Amino acid sequence: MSGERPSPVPPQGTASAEGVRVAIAWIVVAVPAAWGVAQVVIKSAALFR
Amino acid sequence: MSISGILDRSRTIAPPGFSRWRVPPAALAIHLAIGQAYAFSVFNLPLSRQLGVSQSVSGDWKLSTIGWVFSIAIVFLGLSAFTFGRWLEGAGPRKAMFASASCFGGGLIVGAAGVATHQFWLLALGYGVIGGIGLGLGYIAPVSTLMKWFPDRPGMATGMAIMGFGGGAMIGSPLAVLLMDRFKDATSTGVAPAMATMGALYFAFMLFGVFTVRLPAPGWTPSGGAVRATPRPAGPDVHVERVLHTPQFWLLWAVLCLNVTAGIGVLGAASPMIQEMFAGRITPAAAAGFVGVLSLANMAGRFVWSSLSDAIGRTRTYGIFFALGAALYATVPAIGHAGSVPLFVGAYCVIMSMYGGGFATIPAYLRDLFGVMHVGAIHGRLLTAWSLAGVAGPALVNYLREWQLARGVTPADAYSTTLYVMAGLLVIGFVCNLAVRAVDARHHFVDAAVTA
Repeated sequence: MSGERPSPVPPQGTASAEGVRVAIAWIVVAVPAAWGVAQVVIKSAALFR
Repeated sequence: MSISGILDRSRTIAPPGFSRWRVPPAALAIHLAIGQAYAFSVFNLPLSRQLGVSQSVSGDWKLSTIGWVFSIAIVFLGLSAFTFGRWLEGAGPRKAMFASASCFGGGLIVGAAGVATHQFWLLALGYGVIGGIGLGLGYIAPVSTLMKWFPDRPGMATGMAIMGFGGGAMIGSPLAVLLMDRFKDATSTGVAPAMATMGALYFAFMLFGVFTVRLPAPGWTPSGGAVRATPRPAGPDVHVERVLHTPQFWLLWAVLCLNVTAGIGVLGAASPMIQEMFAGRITPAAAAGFVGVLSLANMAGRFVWSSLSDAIGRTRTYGIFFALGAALYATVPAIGHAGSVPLFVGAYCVIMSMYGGGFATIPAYLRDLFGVMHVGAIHGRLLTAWSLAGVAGPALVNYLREWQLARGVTPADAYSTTLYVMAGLLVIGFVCNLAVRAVDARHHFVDAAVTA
């Protein structure tokens, strides 16, 4: 790729704030997904009784 | 700042220090929402009692009529992915994801109006056509963005998003039941307000993805020592208009179509199949549990197989899908005769994991062959294979079953021929996959040819 340049290195404080944003983003999608999976697991219990 | 400005491609370029691990949740927000489509059948029975509420009365919609809504949505998924794929590449992921959220959320609300007024055409237009367009846009929108962020692990990255589509029904189904229970009373099934509420909720959830997604800055490369070198570089770029002239595209089209046809047909018939093959041992509640376990396997397979494909390659991964899949389909009737429920469930879990894995691995396969330039648009065109398989798979299973029952075959044995036919389809898919070679250089994109 022409004009390729290395990724700028953010200051340390910015990096930790970004880590928090990553965690929040994953929690936002993980909570409904986990609720949905739990519903399936509960329903599936009948198969193994 | 206008809404168009906020959504513009230039406004989505990631600032320095942006973590690429924020992009998969953005993609998941879209796919977990649109995956609700697989749970549309939860509305079927209440929709068939809209006028009578406690039971169907004259004038109520028939189940066979209601079934068309899902079929229309899947057809429009394929058509919109085909039509808007090229636009999406230029408009950027944020605009495309916003259009998807508007169509999918709006489609649910228009569909709810159709249910409230008992106008089937309005339900079909809302959920089927408008919602279906939202499905297609949302399905392909994050794919090329994820590949740009994860050139070192394209299979895993797109597998994560497409796993969300498989998991969407797990949220959509209990959510719909919860809302219908909340809204129903002596005069209403609660479907219309439940659908309208879901439209608003899904729109808001998808907006999270819209405003989280970012494109890497030009020249960005994965940084940090933890990131391993790219084991499978993208192929030379092929223009989306050119791709239809390559045998590789049509071989992959056949590969996806055959893998989906075999999986979707059996998935739809899973509940009656296990009850009839193990008559007296499997209750309807246990059969519903079986369907739930299959959906978990389908979801997990999307992530596991696509991630594995980064290590062993796409051709080998599909080779496993078709060889192992054919062997399992051919063995399942014998497992049924042997009466082993755990073996039966285990075999189906592997089959369903490969069905999901087929969906999730195909974008990375396309990238390997056709490059990343138009991979979203090319993926959109390939999804027409899904539209065909979505109709052909269930029809094939149902037709074969009825044909055998009419010939006096017992219900328990009626599925055996079906499964052997599915195994045959997978053998054809195996051959198609083996025939895939690198794209001929005459199809490669040359910038000057376009600008001239």
